[in-house]
Amino acid sequence: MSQPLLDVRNLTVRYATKFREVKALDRVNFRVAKGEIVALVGESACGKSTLGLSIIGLLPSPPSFVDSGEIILSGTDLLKLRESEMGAIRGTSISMIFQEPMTSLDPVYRVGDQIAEAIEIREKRKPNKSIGPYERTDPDTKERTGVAERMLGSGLRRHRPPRAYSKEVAEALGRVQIADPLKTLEKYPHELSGGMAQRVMIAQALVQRPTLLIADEPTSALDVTTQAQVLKLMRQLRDDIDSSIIFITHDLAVAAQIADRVAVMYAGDIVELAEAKALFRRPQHPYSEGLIGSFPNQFKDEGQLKAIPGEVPNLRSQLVGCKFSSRCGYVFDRCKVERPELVEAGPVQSAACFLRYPQ
Amino acid sequence: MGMLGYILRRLILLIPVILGVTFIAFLISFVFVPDVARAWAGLRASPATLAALSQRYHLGDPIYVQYYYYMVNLLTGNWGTVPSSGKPVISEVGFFFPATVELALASIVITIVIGIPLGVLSAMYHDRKVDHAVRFTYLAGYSSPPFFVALLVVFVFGYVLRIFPTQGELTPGLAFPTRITGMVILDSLLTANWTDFANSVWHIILPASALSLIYFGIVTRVTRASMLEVMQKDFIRSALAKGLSRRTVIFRHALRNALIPTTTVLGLVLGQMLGGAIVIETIFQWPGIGLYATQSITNYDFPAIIGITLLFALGVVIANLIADIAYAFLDPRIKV
Amino acid sequence: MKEVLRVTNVVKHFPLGTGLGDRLRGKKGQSVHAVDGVTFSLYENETLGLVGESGSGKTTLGRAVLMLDRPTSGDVIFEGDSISKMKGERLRQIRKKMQIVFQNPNSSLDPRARVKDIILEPLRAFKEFDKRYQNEALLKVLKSVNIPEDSLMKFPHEFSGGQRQRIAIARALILNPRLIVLDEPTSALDSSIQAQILNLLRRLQSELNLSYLFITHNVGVVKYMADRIAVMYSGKVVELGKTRDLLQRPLHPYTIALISAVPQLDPEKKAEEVPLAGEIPSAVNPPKGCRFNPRCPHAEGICREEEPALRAVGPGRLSACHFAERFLDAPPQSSTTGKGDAS
Repeated sequence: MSQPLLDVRNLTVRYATKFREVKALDRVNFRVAKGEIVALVGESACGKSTLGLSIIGLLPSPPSFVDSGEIILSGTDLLKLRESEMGAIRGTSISMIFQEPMTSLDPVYRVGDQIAEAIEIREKRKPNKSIGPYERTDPDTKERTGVAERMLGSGLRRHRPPRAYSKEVAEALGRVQIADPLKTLEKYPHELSGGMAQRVMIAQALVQRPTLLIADEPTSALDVTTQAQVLKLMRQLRDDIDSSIIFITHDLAVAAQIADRVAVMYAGDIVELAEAKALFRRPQHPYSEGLIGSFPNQFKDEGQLKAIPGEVPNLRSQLVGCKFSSRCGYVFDRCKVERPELVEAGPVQSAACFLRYPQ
Repeated sequence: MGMLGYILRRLILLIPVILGVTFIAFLISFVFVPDVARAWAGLRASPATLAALSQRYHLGDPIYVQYYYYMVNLLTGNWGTVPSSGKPVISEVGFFFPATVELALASIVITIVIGIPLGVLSAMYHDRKVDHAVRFTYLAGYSSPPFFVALLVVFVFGYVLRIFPTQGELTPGLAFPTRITGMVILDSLLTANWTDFANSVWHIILPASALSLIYFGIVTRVTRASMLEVMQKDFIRSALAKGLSRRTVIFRHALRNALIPTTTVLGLVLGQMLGGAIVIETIFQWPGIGLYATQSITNYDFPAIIGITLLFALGVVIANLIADIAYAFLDPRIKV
Repeated sequence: MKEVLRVTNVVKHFPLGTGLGDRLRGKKGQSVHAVDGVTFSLYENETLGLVGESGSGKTTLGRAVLMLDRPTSGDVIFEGDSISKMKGERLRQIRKKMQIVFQNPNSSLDPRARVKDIILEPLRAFKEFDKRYQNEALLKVLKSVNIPEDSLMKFPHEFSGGQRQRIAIARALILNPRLIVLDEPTSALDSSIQAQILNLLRRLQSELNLSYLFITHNVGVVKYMADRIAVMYSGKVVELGKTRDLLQRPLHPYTIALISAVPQLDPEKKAEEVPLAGEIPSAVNPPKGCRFNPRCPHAEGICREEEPALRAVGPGRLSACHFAERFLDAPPQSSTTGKGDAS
């Protein structure tokens, strides 16, 4: 990759529980090019959400801690930034949408006002929108909050962004295929359906034009027909504003449909990294192979679904060697003692498996 | 139906509550009392007065007849006569009530102004020193007997520091403003009587503060818990992802949501203040029904006590109504 | 084939509270039309897949069939006996033969009960089984679902999602039922575990001669599990047929849209056209005529006026569309095979 937009290097994140510490991410290396859609695929506890949250700096800490590594966005290491500096690039440089759209919106504010708020943020940052030389102080904190507001926290007056933004809000709602934009912007979140709410979230992202959008299971809570609509919207987003998208999902088929490249994660590691077509045609890691084989897919001939035996390892126990070795059908001695690194396994593919190591 | 309909519906729901309260008051004052006539006429009433009273209140008739006349009397404003002064209960009680309302309102304002920000602070720095300090203060206020808090306030501010006056609504010698609402601060404002206005505000500060010191703890604690809960919610995370500063998220989004349970509590507290200011009023000689209640109890003025009880109940009920309405304003999910 | 379950015109409405003001004005109570007239049969050793999205009524139907939420009207005949009016002890005895497995293994198991008690609870509810029988049944069922004996004294939280779902299945099996309703049994599980559970369910079906009513929103899963599929939309069954036939050549616009919306595991085949716009209709005020008409690309005048009945459109195929015949000649949707076509 020539000059990646995002370069995650050796990222290790620790999750501290009462008894032991668990490595949620174990020396992860990962890059995203400008304008590409990369899917992070894996099952529960593989670390995909942790990776997404680490990039945008919203990892709840405690209980999670970044132990080491770098997250470099357009030349700046995000891990070295202070919270206020990080806040200054969220929204316009990096944005994130989450799984449950209904609860992602503030229930006491109208939907239109929340989108307008996003526009307000963008407008305040006009001169320093992209990351690079940015202001040391977050322009947001400079906003004057009146005494009454500070005491009661806008309990008296609800914050209403300028009416001037209404037009752009309605436009954005129209672009995400919401039927009646003018009526919808007056609504409250609880009056919307799940599909509509997620489209509102995408509209918010649209108006802020982030360079990188992280979507954490954005369609998992939606019906399949609504999901199809939302996936189309997200592709449109990338085309319209040239954002890169990190699409986190557990659904392989969704990843196949939307991603240019796919990163398969297992127990805190990226075990395979490949262009989508290559991955599904010829997976190079036993776990990817097993995952694809266990996926009930209506358009493939199948007799029995090939389940992967065993369970995802308990991350609490200190794992030596390849984390997948306990369930791997191709396991041999080296796997149990040494941890494989990502090596090239094809022109556009790499896998963390000793099978792919040059002999 | 809208907000008006919502208020109307709530008011209609008040009726059964009021019926219940008045019925209990009836039971206490007409059924459970051993000597009804003497209770209402006064301990030193002559047999003639007793007989006349028995007649007037139909005490010889069956209970339901008595109840009928009781309700009629209540609704027409005939709440009985105070034995010691001879004046009708309703005018006595009506004379003193506004001062209590004034005190309660002033106190609730102070409670909001101290309680909520402290709650937010405790939540933002939870389990750190600030949190512990705040907790210590309000627990001290809440667990101390009201008279202790009041006396402490009087001692420190009235005696040692001598900043604020400790008795009454106005400095003796100043004429009261024209009585419109009965609340001195409001009346002096309405009649543009600035000397009285300044003076009465200066007088209300101590008793109102003493009263809030007792109750602000509940408000702080509920706000803190509510804030901590709201901060875990998804939309807070999304607001941060949008690029809002932590501070803006707390004050614009989190707090507004967190205030919803706090409002309910404030309603309860206001109700308490309307009814529980007896000790404060007595110590500060604040001419409200708390003070009047103390007097009536000392004088064994049974009719007055019953009248005050009814008024307290009404006050609590209305305070809750106000809380309900405020709640509907804050939370759009409530069906109006 | 022996018929295990026959559902005839089952309706389930949930009444919404009427405010005093509305009642005074004479407005009748409104209700949520969760299930609005469903008819189908389920045979011995068969799996009927009930497919639909949110608001389709599939979960409500599953519960109604078991009398967990008694239907508002309609009849349910289980092994020849009409159970919709049954009450008390008679119904209780029938319940031995009909069981359910829920979606969320975290909430369907009592977190404060030990596994042994969870699985034995249905047996203990009927006083007729002695301790020896209980123990034998317990061990047998544990073996069927591959849970080791030492799990018996543990608590649910000590197990993973897949294991918990096995415990739930064990609990459903212990009374030797004939019919099991499975309500999204694998939706909360990771895909690799899902495959294990699905394979387990298939094995159990052939070993124990069970009939499944398999409720899911996942077309891939239903293709793997079901012999026949009933597609539900807004409280009604819009299409019913053999799995392979239905998926290869759907005869209802909704089914067509649903199938084309499912993302395929092949990046080369990208869905360019979004098959379905709009939102699901209100369950309180369903649209007049065919419920799908506001979103249907083929809708015509009659669709807005007259509600189509679920009728035969070819051998073993039912569709509730006025124009179902139009789709008979459509090209098949890629190569699809389903359950029973082992390679």
